[in-house]
Amino acid sequence: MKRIRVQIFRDGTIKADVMGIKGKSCTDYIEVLEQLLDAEVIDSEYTAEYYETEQLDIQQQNINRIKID
Amino acid sequence: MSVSLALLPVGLALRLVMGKKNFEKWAESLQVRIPTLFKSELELVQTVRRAGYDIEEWGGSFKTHVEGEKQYFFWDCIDGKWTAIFSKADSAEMISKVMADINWAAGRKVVGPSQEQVTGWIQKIEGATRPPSIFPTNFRDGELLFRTLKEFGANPVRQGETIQCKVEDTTLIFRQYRNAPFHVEIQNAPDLRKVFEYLSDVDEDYKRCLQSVVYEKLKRRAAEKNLTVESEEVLEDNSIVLTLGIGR
Repeated sequence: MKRIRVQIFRDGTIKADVMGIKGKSCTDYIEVLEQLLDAEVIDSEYTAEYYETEQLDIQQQNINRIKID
Repeated sequence: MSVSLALLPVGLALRLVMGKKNFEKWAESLQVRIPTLFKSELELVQTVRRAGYDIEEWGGSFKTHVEGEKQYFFWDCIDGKWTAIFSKADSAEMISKVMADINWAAGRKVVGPSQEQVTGWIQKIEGATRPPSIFPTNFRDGELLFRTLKEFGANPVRQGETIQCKVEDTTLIFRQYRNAPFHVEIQNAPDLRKVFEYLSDVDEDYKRCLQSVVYEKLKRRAAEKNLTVESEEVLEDNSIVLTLGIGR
């Protein structure tokens, strides 16, 4: 399930979690969120899912390269 | 989950801690302000970089690091003059060195204090019998600040870029350069602590209003981005949580 969870705190600060989006495409939503909220990102953290997917991408690239060679 | 973000609305700065119990911390935010003769933002940026320092936009101001990431100061345009804002905790030697480097890079004296003068200013601030009258705030959105002050019954009045209001016998003048955080000038305050408590209440209410503004904006704009509000709830800490579905 692709979702964004936005928590707006009483002091005006915001936390947003982009969930269920594989690989680097989740970072497309950083700009979307900044525009939606009129806010600036002050901190970000990639989660295990992001890196796991990246790992798969790298493996796939290696397989492709071997096939070409 | 793929990425977790912390965001700060453009209407808010988090440069100081307010709250009724934090008068001392606020007083700690007292600054050493050194005005310069820079004629433009471009000249400021180019000269600071030429002097071997960084200068980056930060929360509506500019920020320059000194010897690594931990020590830094700000640049604000106050009353039309680019002004270096140091903390009173910064050493006079450090401030003098930075100023000397910048004068060297400018090829002229854009900022003039000798080490003795800087030391004198710091001593004046530390030993001041009369409290200084200009303080930093977290407010960046003039409309929202005006609205908050109005809701407080402070009868704010706009005068160009400034917002002025009167609380009992004390006059508060809020000034902003571009989208940098407002500074507040406090005139005729018999008891600065009381004014601080008042400003803390304004700070709290401003943030509450901002939370509401961000919430409404998000709901309004979500549909335009093909996002569906699946659920929303208010948690015990009064934060609002919205879950948005993507692409359905």
